[in-house]
Parts: sequence; C-alpha cells; structure tokens
Amino acid sequence: MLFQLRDASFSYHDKLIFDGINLAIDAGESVAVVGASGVGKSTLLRLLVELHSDGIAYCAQDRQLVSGLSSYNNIYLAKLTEFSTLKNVLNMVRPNKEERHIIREIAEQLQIVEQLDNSVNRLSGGQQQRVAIARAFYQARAVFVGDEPVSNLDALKSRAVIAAILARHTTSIVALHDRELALTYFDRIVGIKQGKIVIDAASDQVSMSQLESLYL
Amino acid sequence: MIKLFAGLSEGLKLRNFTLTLLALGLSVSFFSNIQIFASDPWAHFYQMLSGLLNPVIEQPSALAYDLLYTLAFALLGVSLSIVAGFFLSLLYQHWLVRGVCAFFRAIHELFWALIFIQLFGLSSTSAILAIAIPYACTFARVFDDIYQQAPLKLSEKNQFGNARISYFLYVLMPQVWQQMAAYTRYRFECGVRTSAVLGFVGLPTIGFHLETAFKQADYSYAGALLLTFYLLIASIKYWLKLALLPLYLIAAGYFLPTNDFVNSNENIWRFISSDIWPQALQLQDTSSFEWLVGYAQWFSDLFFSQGLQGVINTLLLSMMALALTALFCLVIAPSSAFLLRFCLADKFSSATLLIMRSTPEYILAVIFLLLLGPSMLPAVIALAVHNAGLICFLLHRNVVIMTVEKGAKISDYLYKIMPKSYPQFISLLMYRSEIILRESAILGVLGIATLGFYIDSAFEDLRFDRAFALLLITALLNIVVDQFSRKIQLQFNDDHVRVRSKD
Repeated sequence: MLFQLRDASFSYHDKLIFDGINLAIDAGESVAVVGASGVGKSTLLRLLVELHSDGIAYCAQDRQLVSGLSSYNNIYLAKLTEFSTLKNVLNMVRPNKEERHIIREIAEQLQIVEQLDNSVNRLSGGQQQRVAIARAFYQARAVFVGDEPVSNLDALKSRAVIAAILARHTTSIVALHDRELALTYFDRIVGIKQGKIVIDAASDQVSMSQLESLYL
Repeated sequence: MIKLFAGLSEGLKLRNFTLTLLALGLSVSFFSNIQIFASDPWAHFYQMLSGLLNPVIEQPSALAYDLLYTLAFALLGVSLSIVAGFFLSLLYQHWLVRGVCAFFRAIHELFWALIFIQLFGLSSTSAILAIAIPYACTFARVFDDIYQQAPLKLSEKNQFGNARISYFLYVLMPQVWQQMAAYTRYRFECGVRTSAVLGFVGLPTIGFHLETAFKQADYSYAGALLLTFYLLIASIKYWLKLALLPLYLIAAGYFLPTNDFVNSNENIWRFISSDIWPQALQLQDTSSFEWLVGYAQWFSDLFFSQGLQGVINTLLLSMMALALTALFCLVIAPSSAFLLRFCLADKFSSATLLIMRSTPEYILAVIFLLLLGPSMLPAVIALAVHNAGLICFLLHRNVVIMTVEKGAKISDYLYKIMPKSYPQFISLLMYRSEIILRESAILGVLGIATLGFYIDSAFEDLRFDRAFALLLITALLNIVVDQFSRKIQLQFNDDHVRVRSKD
C-alpha cells in the first residue's frame, strides 16, 4: 500500500476539517479528488504528501514560483538539492546544457518553450501553471500529487496536460474541479463533502449526477 | 501595554496612544530646560534668512573641494558598508552577529568619527570608517528584514539544508534584489548627509565650513553651502547608477584628501589596550576578577556622576522631540494633502518637505541654537522639523496613491485617508523614535547636557576611559529603546503594513 490514512482527523485553527477519514491508495492507481471549494481537498493532498515527501512530485495550488526568476530556472529549481552548489551557481550564469535539454523537452510537451527565458511574473496564469507542472515533471518521480493543476487552462489544453501527467507517473492523485475530466481520465474517484469521504469508487461506477451532488 | 491602549476599535487604540504620547511630551517639558535665551530671535532670524536667500560664493574652488570630499567619503564609506553588510546579513540569524550589529549600530557616526580621529587623525580613513561601520550593521539588519519578508518561502525549504547557497541564489535573491537595490540607493543619500555632518567634528567635508560660516554670521556663504548641498542630494537619483558605480569609486579614491598624519601601530594598540580603560586599574597587579570588580566600581561611580544625568536628559529630549514630531505631522500631513489640489501650493509644500527632510538634524540644531540660545528647545525643534518632514513625505506619497478626489473636503480626509494612513504614521513614528534617541544623544556635542555632551567632554579632556564607558551606556540605552519601540510598532500593525528602516 502506497498511502494509508486510518481514522485520520485534522483541524486547522480549532476548526475540524477532517473527522475520522479512511483512505488507502495503491501504487499504480490514478485518483481524482473531487469536491466543492473549501471542503479540504488541499489539506488531504498535503497530508498524503507528508507521508512520503521524498518520492512525490507535488504541484501545489499556489504554484510556488519565484517571480523574479526565469521559467527555466524555476523548473531547474526543483533539483537544486540534488546538484552540487557549483553546478547551481554556474547554471545561474549560463544554463547547463544537459539540464536545459531535458527541460526543453518537457516545455515542448506543455507548450511553454517560448516562455522558458521569460521571468514568470510576465507569464499568464495558465502559462505559470504549466511552469509549475513542468517543475514537477522535471523531478521525474513515480508519484504525482497535484492540487488543481489545470484550473487555469482551457478544455483542450487541460486534457493534454492531464494525459501527460498520467503518462509520466505510475501513480497520480489530482484534485480537480472539472467533473468530466475526472470521470474520463482517472480510474478512481474520491468525493469529499463536509469533512468526510462520501464517494470512493472506480470511476466507471460513479455517475455525473452523483458527482454533482457533492456541490449541492 | 496592550491593555493600556486597548479600545473597542483600532481607531480608539490609536487615539489613546497619540494622546498619551502628546501628554507625556508636554509633562516632560515642565522638567526640562526649554527657555529662549536669545534677546531678539526674530530679528536674528530675518537676518539669517536674508543671508541664506542671497547666497554668495567667494571661493568656488574651496566649495568644490568640500563637495568632492563629502561625496568621496560617502561613496567609499557606503560601498564598503554594502559589501560588509551583505556578508553580515547572511550570518544575521546568529545571536552573536545580531548582538554585535545592534551594538555598533547604536553608536552614532559622529561618535565613531570621534574615536577614529584619535586613531587616524583628521584623515579620509577616519571619515570612511565612521560611515562604513554603523552603516554595515544597519545594512545587515535591513537586508535580513527583507529576506524574512520575502513573499514566497518554498514549502520544502527545510530540505535545502545542504543547498543554502543555491536556495539563496534561486529562491531568495530573485524576489528581493530590487528591494535591496532601492534601499541601497536610499542609503547613499543618507551617506551624503552623514558625510556632510562629519565636518562638524573637523573632517574636511561641507559641514566644516558650514559650521564656521554660521558661527561667523556669514549667512550668505552658509546659504551657498546649503543650497549646493540640497542640489547635490536632489541630483543623486540622476547620476547614481549601478553600472557607473565602479567609475565613481575609482574617482573617489583618486580625489581623497591626503593627510600627513601617521599613527604607529603601537599607538593604536595602546589606545585599545590601555587608553580606554581607567588608569587606576592598570597600576595594580590584579587578578582578572579583581580587575572586573574594580572596573564595575569605577563604572558605577561614573554612571552616577555623569551617565545617569546624561541618560535622563537624553530621554527627556527624545520624549519632547517625539511628541513635537507627532504634533507637527498631525498639522502638516492633512494640510499638505489638502494643498495637492492647488498646483503651486503643492510644489511649495513638497519643496518645504524636501528641505525639512534633507537638512540633517545636526545642522538644524546648530541653526536653532544660534537663534534661540542654549537650552533643549533648539534640539527639540530641530529633531521635530527633520523627522516630521520625513514622515510627512512618506505619508504624502500614500495620499497621492489614494488620490484625493477633486473637491475633497476635510471630512473626506478624516474618513477616507486618515484611517488608512494613521497606523502607518504611528509605525513610522515608532521607528523614528530610535533614531531620535540616537540623535538626541549626539546633539550633546553642541552643548546640551545629553550623553553626547559628556562623551564629547571626555574626548576633549583626553579621558578615553570615560568616553568609552559612556559610549557603552549610550549604546545600551539605544538597544533598549529600539526593542521597546519595535514592540509598540508590532501592536499597531497586525495587517500587512510593516514599515522598514527608512531613516
């Protein structure tokens, strides 16, 4: 079992967000976490990330991009600790050839090659979002955890990016707003309402109307 | 303290605090010497004003050299302090670095100058070091402040344990370097002001001839010096560019005044190892514990004979100056916001604010001392004028941002602008309180019996042991007041408003 939460509770500022939830996720699964805003999707994902922070490429909702830095360096940043300080310093002066090549390929897939040398504060919300995803891809981990990673993209791009996420990782856990995307691309749906998991089933067992009831 | 200013609303809390401050200032003034000793200050004032408004330069080359040296000391001193301050800021989280910086920062540049003049004479070295040391410590603190407030802290920062340099380079610097550059530019302006004031203790900057001119009642020459000084300050933003800085530094190094004064290493060592410690203790062959007890005894005698009186006067002066600054701001800020609508009046008010804030407190104090005679009053007014000018300028900028609508009435100001800018006003005032205290101490050099008076006298009597001990007291007082004012500052800005060191 890759992740296991047993009777887990979580409160924030004295406010109980989760009350006794149980969730187990196996390696190889693709899970969409669905629910209205503020029900605790982000909290649940963060709990999972803390269980195995080393092996996970985590794409947080606030993107964690450094505004004065170019997109390329923002992506490179993911592996700072893996490289020597000297390599990092030199890369700042002139991009490292190998890493630049790897990052360029990722950027091509996500259609942000043109923006690689722009500083991220000059990019649109959707482009910034893809830089954050590129950073997760660059880490080349087996598990991807993403918090609304495609919320700023149009329908077409969202599909392409979700497909890329699933193709690049053996296990993916993604919080989503888009119900249709969740049903089409993921094996399993976890629906959250009022601090409890109310849906946990294979996606072909879940209907659109069931998902919509989460938002009522 | 929380309870004292507590109220049902933030506004009530701020009002109570302001009233307490004003009441304290007023009550303190009953115990202080704030008489006017001059016979006809207004006549003297008109005489001075007509001189200042009719500037005459008899020796342009002398003036040019004054300016050149003022600039050269400022450029070299501040540049040196940026480098040192940057490295110190990286270690600032260490308690030792923080402590040493707080201590060195608490000693005023003029006091540093008095010390270095003993070691290196009236030389460039003394001037540059007197600027560089306290400035480096200020840079260290402000840079650290900027790092701490960087908007983004990566959530996995704790994993950067072994990659701190990389983290600094990739995450921190891109976010903060613009802020650091802006602050650095601003400090250059401060450096020019400090460098000018160093002339008052004899170093060859513009302040040296300014003091002479004022004392000889040569107000036309004083006017010329002040005018060029303002032009110099106002022009900084046009010529100070990062790319040109190396060129300026080379030029500054080339034009530095040469000085024949050479001190032997033994003399310098003797100053540190024996001159600054009491004579009586050096004659006896004592153990270090006995020495410590002896020093403590000697120190407490000095404290009760001179230090305590100096501390009390310094605090009295600061309290009055702070209250008067608040009062000036309460009058000037609304009226200058109101003048925004009239083009000419607006120009006039911003020019007045510029003159108020760019004239160093020390120079203002010299002027008011000449006009009003020796008491605490000139110092109080000088501190209040300079600080009110600066605070109102910073608030004024915000008022412009908030855009006063056409036809705004005083009630618009009271209900729309004041509630937004008042917390910032209090915050700025508290930040300035530390600087007012520093300046209150130094104004003693002019003869007001604050700590600076006793320190200056000790230097004049060549009693370096006393000077050193009194400097210790001054620094400690400054650190205590700084901590206190920071605590108050935190009380009043719980939201995003946090004012950084903008002196």
